[in-house]
Amino acid sequence: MKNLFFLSLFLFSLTFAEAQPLDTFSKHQLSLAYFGETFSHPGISAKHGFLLKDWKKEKLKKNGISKTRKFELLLDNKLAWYRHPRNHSGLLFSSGITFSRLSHSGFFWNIGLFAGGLNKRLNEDTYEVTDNNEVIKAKGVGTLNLAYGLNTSLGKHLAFKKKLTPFSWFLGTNIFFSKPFNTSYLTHNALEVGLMYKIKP
Amino acid sequence: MKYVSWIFLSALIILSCQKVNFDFSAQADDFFFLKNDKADMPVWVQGNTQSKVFVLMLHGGPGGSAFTIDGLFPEFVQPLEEKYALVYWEQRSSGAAQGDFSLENLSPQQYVEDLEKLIVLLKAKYSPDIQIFLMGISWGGYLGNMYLTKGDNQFNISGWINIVGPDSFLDMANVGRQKLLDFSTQQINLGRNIPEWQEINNWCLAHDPITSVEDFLIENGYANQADFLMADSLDVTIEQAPLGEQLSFIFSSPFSSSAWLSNMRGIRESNLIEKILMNEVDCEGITIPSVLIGGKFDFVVPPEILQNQFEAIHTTEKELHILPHSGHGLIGHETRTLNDIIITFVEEYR
Repeated sequence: MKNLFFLSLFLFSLTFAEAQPLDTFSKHQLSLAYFGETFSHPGISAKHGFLLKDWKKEKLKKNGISKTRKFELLLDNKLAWYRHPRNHSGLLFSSGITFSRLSHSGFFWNIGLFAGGLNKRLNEDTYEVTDNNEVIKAKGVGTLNLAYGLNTSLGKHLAFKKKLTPFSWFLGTNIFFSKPFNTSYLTHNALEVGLMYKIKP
Repeated sequence: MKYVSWIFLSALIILSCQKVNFDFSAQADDFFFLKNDKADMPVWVQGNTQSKVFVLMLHGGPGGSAFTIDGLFPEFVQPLEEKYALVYWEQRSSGAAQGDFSLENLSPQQYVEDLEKLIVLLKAKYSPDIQIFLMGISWGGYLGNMYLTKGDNQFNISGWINIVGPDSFLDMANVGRQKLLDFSTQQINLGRNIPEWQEINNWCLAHDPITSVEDFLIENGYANQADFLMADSLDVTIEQAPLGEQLSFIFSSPFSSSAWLSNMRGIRESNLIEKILMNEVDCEGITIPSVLIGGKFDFVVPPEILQNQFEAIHTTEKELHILPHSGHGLIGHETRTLNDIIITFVEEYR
């Protein structure tokens, strides 16, 4: 517990010490989040984002003050795991493209498309009955599904003394489909709440 | 190295001693999946397994959900769970069932095969001497009739509880159409819900007899609507599950609403209804103790359909109850009366 406290203090001090403008960060970013399938089936997700392109737009307001907005296009690779108790556990691995809009104040809004696979495993004992009425424990009680969908998130880069730090928080939702599911496909929704870290060059 | 050996040995002992069969308990909460022909069907056994009396619920539909009955009708299931083990089985392409099967796997015969395997599994995992009572609701009643009339299946079952279940979907639709016609005329004359009843009346007059899947589905929709239109005549006094329990059911139970929607889509896209319409069950083959329960205001499976089955069933140990203030959603109408009938029946034949 004591170690955890010092680790938190160390990480926190880093964010203070390393505060700087966003432009000075590298093209890589990492995020770690709570991944709640149907909001409440708990899980965790980790994502790596690689900046493909960024550009800025200046907008002159009526009062003469200009505001700069930054846009980014990112290539994402994500790994997420969740557990729906007494139903299944899912491991989602996907790649996607995310469009991000950042305001001068550090707020950002993302929208992305992704595709990949979903490995689903039943998380309770599973039995089969043979033609001879023999009961056996089923093996390989999982399926590999195609998964594709859309995610959106909003968040804010954390700042210290009016300078942005490499950390930001975000809140996001994912809607994705996995197939095959019986004769059809299955719709999932997932809530994400987490932290993102822009890696230093 | 010594410690590693000890850990390895301990793990081996624990793994070799893992529970193969379920224990009997007054408050069982056993959960497992039955895998058959590419369907992964959840089975949840709750209640008093110590009684060694298992009431196997066959939910409605096709495409309904036993878990929703467990989660949303506590007043119906709890008195039964106190006395017996209640087996909630999500049939293939229903409720929270999973899998990866094709549309061809959706046939009445496939559902019967799944049920046969479930009964073998229950006897193997608990004990060969448990007593199983089948309790079919609506489509589950039809499924139960099919199971019981196949081979020697009925000798695995101690008693048959048929709640608003038909033996013929085509007869059910045509008797229902006539009942809708009679009631709509009566209600229009009484000046009640005239636009709704008039629409039903017009449709029924123009569709005699019902022979196609399309007409069957429309009639079925009107029959369910009539349940609501006659709400004043129904005894809907049971308390719903509290909001907290309902939310908990949606968000933190084994149930999955998205799986349910997907499964129902599968049923709609298949030709299961067509197969059911062509497949009538001859209840004369049933010789085990049976109780049939219907609702006077049931337009989906009218009491006449239950009366016909009652006459056909080949045993003297049979009862027919038509509840005077119930419709097709009988488990939520005269719930206490329904439970009394079920418990009295099970106690008599256990």
